[in-house]
Amino acid sequence: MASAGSGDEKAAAAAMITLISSDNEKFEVTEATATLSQTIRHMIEDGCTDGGVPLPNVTSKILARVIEYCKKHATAAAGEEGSSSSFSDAAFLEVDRAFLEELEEFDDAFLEVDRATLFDLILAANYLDIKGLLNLTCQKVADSVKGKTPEQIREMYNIVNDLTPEEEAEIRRETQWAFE
Amino acid sequence: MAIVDDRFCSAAFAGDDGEGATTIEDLPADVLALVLSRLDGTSLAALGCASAAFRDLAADPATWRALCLALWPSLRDVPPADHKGHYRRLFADAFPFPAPAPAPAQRLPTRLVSAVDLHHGGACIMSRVVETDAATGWFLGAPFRVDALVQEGFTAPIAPADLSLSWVLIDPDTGRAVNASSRRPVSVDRRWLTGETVARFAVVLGGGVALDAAITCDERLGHVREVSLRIEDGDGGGVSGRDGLAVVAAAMAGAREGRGTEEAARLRYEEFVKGRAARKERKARREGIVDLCCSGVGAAAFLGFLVMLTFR
Repeated sequence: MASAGSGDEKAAAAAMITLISSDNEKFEVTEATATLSQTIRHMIEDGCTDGGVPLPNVTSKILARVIEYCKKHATAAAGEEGSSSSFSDAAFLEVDRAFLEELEEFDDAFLEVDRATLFDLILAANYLDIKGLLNLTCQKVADSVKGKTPEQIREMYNIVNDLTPEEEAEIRRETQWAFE
Repeated sequence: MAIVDDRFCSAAFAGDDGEGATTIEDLPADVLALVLSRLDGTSLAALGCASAAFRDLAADPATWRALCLALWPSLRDVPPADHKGHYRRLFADAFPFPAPAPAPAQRLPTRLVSAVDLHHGGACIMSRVVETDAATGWFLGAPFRVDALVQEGFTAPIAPADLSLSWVLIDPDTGRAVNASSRRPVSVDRRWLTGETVARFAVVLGGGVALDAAITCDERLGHVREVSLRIEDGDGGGVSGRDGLAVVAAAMAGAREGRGTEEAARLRYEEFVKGRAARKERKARREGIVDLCCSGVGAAAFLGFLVMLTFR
């Protein structure tokens, strides 16, 4: 029974999905990697992945990065599952912590990108519905805003101040406590 | 989903125009809401000043409600006023400290709602809402005092220095609020005689008064006996209910101070206590001089009387 189960898993892991970026580049990924994206998971469930999954909203550059993220997190997930059955509790915890640490390091390194790429990653994560990546990238943006003044935020993100002086004065009065 | 796709296409077109880079304004509103929900109140307020689009996003009542409830769990039991920006204003009123120079208030509140939250090392150990009828003659005449613990108290293993207290006073009629606590204790006194420890969370306001929230607990047994709010004047005496209400109303209407104020609150309280001690000393000296004069006059009169008797 157990061997049959793992055999099935292997078969599922071996199944390859082809993803096609907006600039027609093809990426071969395992199903385990691809199904981190809920959007692709639904497509696989509906059986409409033959001949590749076109992703007209994602460029090859961004798709490559997204796949890098998914691969890492898919292996981590698989490794955790494997370790839970074959190690004793203490060893499992040890391995688990090592995995988490490695994953965290990977995530930190993964986020070392310029702002435009970061926003592209957010858009892709949102479109492909990858919860982990969306949370990770949104947190990065939130962290970058923390403790900044409105001027610094505008400068950082090239936001044009389209408030009239009266409107701005009003908001400033309401939120005066936040700046002093 | 369709909306997201549309936004995406427009972003792609904008990219084709030449600039190429995706900006924060290309993100769909639901994704920006995700980013905003991860901010603290101060950053959210700052982001709301950046542009008209962010002003509208940052005004989202649900985000402010979540921020308020995360900081002050007791607010769950306070019926919210029905206007849209209620939680945003409540946060702006109760998160920063009241400035030391309060504005005079036009009218006194007739009711006061206290939303009290006591944390110990990050965990909430007490959350309570107390409503005070502030219009009765009894309240107005007696010294100002609100108790958050009406029953026996409760037991929790605590170290007074690790406590943090928030005491949000709300005037339900106007919706204005003020936080009457310094969050971190400004002083921890041990009373050896009774074995009690009093942690004070005083906020000093202008005009020589301080909002004096205090927790009395028994450190050995970990028993919290009293969580109360008084208002103290410069001589260490209590202020009457009527004057206390005026102080609270003025603090609600006055300005707020934003950053780095926990330390400032402690320093101000130390000043306040020092001032009080100095005043007491001056008063004692003055009384001493008056005493001396009195006894001098008495002695002179007595001597005069004796002289009169002798040389009669």
